[in-house]
Amino acid sequence: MPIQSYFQERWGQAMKRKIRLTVNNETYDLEVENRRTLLEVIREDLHLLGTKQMCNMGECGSCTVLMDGQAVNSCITLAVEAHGKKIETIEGVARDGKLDPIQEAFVAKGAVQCGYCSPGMIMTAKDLLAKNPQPTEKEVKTAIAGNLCRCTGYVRIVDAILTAADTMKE
Amino acid sequence: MTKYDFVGKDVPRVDADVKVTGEAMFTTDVKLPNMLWGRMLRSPLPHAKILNIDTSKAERLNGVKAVITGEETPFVFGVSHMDQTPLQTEKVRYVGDPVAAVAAVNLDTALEALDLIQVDYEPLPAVFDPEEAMKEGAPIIHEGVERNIAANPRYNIGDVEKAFQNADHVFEDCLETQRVAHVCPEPHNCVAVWDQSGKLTFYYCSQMPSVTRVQLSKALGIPESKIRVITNNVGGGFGSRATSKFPMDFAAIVLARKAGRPVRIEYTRDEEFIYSTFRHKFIMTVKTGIKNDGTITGRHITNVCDNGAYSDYGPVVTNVGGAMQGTLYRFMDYRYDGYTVYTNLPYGGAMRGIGNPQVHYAGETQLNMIADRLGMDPLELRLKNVVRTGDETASGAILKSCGLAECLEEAADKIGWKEKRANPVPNRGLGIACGVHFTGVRLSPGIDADFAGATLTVNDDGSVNLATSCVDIGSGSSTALTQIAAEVLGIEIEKINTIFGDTETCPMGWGSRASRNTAIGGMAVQKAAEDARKQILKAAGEKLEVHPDDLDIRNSTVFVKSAPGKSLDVADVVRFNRYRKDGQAVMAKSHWDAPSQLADPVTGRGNFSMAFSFGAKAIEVEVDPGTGRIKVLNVAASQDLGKAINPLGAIGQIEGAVHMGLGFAMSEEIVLDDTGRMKNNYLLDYRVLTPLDMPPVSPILVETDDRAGAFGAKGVGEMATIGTPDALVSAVAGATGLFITDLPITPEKVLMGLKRKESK
Amino acid sequence: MKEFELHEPVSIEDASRLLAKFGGRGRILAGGTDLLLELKRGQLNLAAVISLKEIKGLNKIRFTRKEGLRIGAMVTWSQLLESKPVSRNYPLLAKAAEKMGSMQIRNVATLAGNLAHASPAANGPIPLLVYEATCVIQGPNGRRVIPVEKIFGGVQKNTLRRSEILTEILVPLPPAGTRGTYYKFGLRQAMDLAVVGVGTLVKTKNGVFDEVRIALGAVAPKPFRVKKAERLLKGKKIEDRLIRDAGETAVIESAPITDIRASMEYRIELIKELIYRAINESLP
Repeated sequence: MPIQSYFQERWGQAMKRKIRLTVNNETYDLEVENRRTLLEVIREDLHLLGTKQMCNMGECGSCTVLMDGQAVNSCITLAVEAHGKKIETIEGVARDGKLDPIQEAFVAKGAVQCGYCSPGMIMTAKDLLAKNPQPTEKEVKTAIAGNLCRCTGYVRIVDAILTAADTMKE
Repeated sequence: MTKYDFVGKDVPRVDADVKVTGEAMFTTDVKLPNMLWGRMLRSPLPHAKILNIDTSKAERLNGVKAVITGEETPFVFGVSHMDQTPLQTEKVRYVGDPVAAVAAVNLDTALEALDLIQVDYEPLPAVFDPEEAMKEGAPIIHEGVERNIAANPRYNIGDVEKAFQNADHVFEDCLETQRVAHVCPEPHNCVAVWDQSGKLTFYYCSQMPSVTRVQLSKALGIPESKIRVITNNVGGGFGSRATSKFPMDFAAIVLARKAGRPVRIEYTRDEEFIYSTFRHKFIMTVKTGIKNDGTITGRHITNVCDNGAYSDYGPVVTNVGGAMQGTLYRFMDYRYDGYTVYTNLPYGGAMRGIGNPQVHYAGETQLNMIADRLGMDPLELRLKNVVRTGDETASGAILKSCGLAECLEEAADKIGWKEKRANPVPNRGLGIACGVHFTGVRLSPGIDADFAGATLTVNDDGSVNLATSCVDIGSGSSTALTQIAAEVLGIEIEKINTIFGDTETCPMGWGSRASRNTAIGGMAVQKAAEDARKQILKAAGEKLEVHPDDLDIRNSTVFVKSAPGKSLDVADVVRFNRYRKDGQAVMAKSHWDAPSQLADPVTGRGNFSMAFSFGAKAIEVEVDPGTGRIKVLNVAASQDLGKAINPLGAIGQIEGAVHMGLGFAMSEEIVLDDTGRMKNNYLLDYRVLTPLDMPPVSPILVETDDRAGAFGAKGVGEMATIGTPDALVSAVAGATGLFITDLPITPEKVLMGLKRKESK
Repeated sequence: MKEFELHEPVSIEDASRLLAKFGGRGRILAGGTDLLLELKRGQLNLAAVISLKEIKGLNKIRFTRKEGLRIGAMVTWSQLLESKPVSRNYPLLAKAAEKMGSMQIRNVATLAGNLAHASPAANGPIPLLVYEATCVIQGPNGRRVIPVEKIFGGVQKNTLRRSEILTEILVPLPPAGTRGTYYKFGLRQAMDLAVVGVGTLVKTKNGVFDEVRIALGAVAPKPFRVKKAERLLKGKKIEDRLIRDAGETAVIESAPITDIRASMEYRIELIKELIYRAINESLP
């Protein structure tokens, strides 16, 4: 029999937990199993497809979202852990149809090739620049070390983040 | 120097806006109503007869909607040799060879179902080494393929033995390269859905959707008109999604038909590493004759390609490496013996450079070793021998443009070659290497075609719809093509909507491989745009009552050259043209075949590409003699790309290629256990370099006068991948006195090499 | 992953009771970066995950000059990086935090979890060993405090008894006048496990080694203090040959293996070289 029924029989528990997720300032009341990751819930339940799955093991950063302002790998975060926390995904970055300075810099500086790593990269950059508005090149590289890009060699991405930092200074 | 409005400018990627917001759709984002999840059951044994497959328990599992075995997938496919079926019925040939597939309501159920499928195997002797596989008495992997040799591409040009006799020195060295993975960000995935009319829609991350359609049609035995392939944005390809078809594709298609519902199959990352093909391991012997004055008299290369269990791109990859080594230096006596050998291992495929980077590695590294042995400057040695503009090479290539010497000089200059070699610093070294790659290619015997297509419509408001056969897999092709269309039409970039990927709306073409999009795809766009421009000028001429030759278009305005005040909006021209008696649309199409030739079947020589890209890599390293750690101080990567349609885009491609090249050189390796199972199929131990590992990279764009491709463009992405490990090994030799050629050269290999040298 | 119950107790006692209830099929969730991987790989079959997140006070770093540092079980590597007491007084711990995983991992992974996971190559143990930290463990029989090295039982095995929880890590101030070094030698500059990890804390007096503490990781089933090498140096005159000998001695105390990252032979060379360098770097 399927796993869910098996568990119900063995443990006699209601398997779904009610959680409230605040994602990009919108509230979602959901019922999820404890084992669901935040990435799964974001993509499958909330249909926000901008956050990507590349490795599903917390090793590549393409699933990065902000949780209370902190960049986390949503593929190794339980959805239930996000209850009561403020989640931001790539969909929430541009405001009123206008790209934010990090996104603008990515576009202008050639930091986007295939685009699969871009959402995760941008969310990581947001965490970095919020904590460290004028990072050095080394600090940028350290911050994005957990975001894998196979297309750019990171050069233009680092350039874009430093450019965004300068723009945001003004 | 012609001044252009759009070509040659750093135009931001036309698709960047939607990629930075996460709106850009990839195949992994395709969700259809009632979609099922598919998974394949893979063989745990490297070589075994299948005695029995019992799927009855799996079929009965609640939530399972279809289960299939090889009986339901009797399709034969391959790239050049049709030697593969999706799900095996007779025997399995590598650990991971699929034997069954299920489709279920969710992934958990699909996984549970796989556990319920019972397969009885009878193990067969297996062979894991290509040299062993070629010996008499080795287990035969494919019936009728003697000595497991799937292909034997050969070049025998001139008289290489005579060349060795004429040489002052003859050197023979053995060099190998390791398997490396593409590591595409988007994993292999597809969704298949059939409708009541018998039409299949196949969503797939293909590098060439129209070719995918042809292949599916052939394999499945249904008309192309009943197949629609849809490719969205592609999260990286690097060759893994070119002509190769995968068991997963057919499994999804058949499951979807059987279940009557759409089926998605998606690789997990650990599958993606090893079952999406990878760069083949080559075992090479290079024999080079050289005179005291540095002239290379001839070369003989033997290459044993460890192919894996199914041929896929293996024969092509083995062939390309051979062809290109006859296209770099001026010697005319050249022999290449390539063997594509089956082994009971997962199989390789096309990876950025398709065989060229590996053979270049062997040739260039040996040349650096020879320079070292003879006390020659590796740069001077190369400059003495490199091909030049106008040459007809040993391989038969005719070089209408060749900036190879300039690339070498620029790279050497950038790295400070002369000064640093004159003033050596302890533990530091410099290395240099050069390379050549094609722009589109005719190297598949019997396939005398290398084309791209474009269709173009100008809308009533003066905006443009451009459909291309080129898929933008991240290389920026859509942007370059849009720039070309804008330049020819005189219409701004923002007004042009370039689409690709849907076989119902886009023309056919060889798609994104062999570095052909800008030059060949660009020519198709250029021709279509020229045609459309003519139509606009003709109609405008009628309206303005001037001869079309007196007109020009800029900024969407058609104007009289001698009286610019007399003008019309393109939009007005289009509407005038359409809304009248016997009116016409402004519509154009182009199918453009690159002017290259198939090789002569007897000599193997031919001008197999319309243009060749050249490049050089110069690298400076510092080695820590106490730990063996290699610190790359600088990489100068020069490239003759004809004309840089989008310089920032070309630079981005080169930087990315250097990243891949350094990984190939220093840290990436597919490690297999003794049955062919990948041990390090996760990102912690398959080491793609992090931003902190990347050295400063200096891309240098060298423009030469080539007339073949659009605006003189030549290929970029693959040439840029060539030469990095070659130069790095040489630089480490400069720093340590040791040629450590066993890739990847890790700190361990350097330190242990130094220790062994010390103890001698 | 298979489904499990999730419990969010509000006290250590409740958490401990839950661990007892579920036996080997219940595990603590702190940052989750190791736990979730084990669950995804199917290495664990859990009935319950017991989260520490609702227990007050566990995410605090406290510092007094007298007591030193008190790091709660839920303190993340990012918090350690941002902490002034840590960067001012415990530079090796700050360095270990910098070299840990990725920013995404550092934001949620905990030092306590790093110790409890007991990977031989872990970053956390090295500075804690040379700083002579202790671990506060709470369970059904009350509270016990053990030296940090006692928490490691073997490869990915800790010595916590069933239903015990590591609640706090106490790190005394390093003795005045000591200097230290931390090396994490990996095959990449980030996102890597140590091939060899070294930590040193040294104090010299009149050209003589006064205090010497050396810790090694990734070269034995447990991270450890290299006592023989320390004894070799302590009280002796600072001499290059002696420091080289310390490196050689350290090899004898280690048990490096050949694995997918490096061979035993290479690790042996690295132990010798890195200890030599680390001690030298810790000299005034």
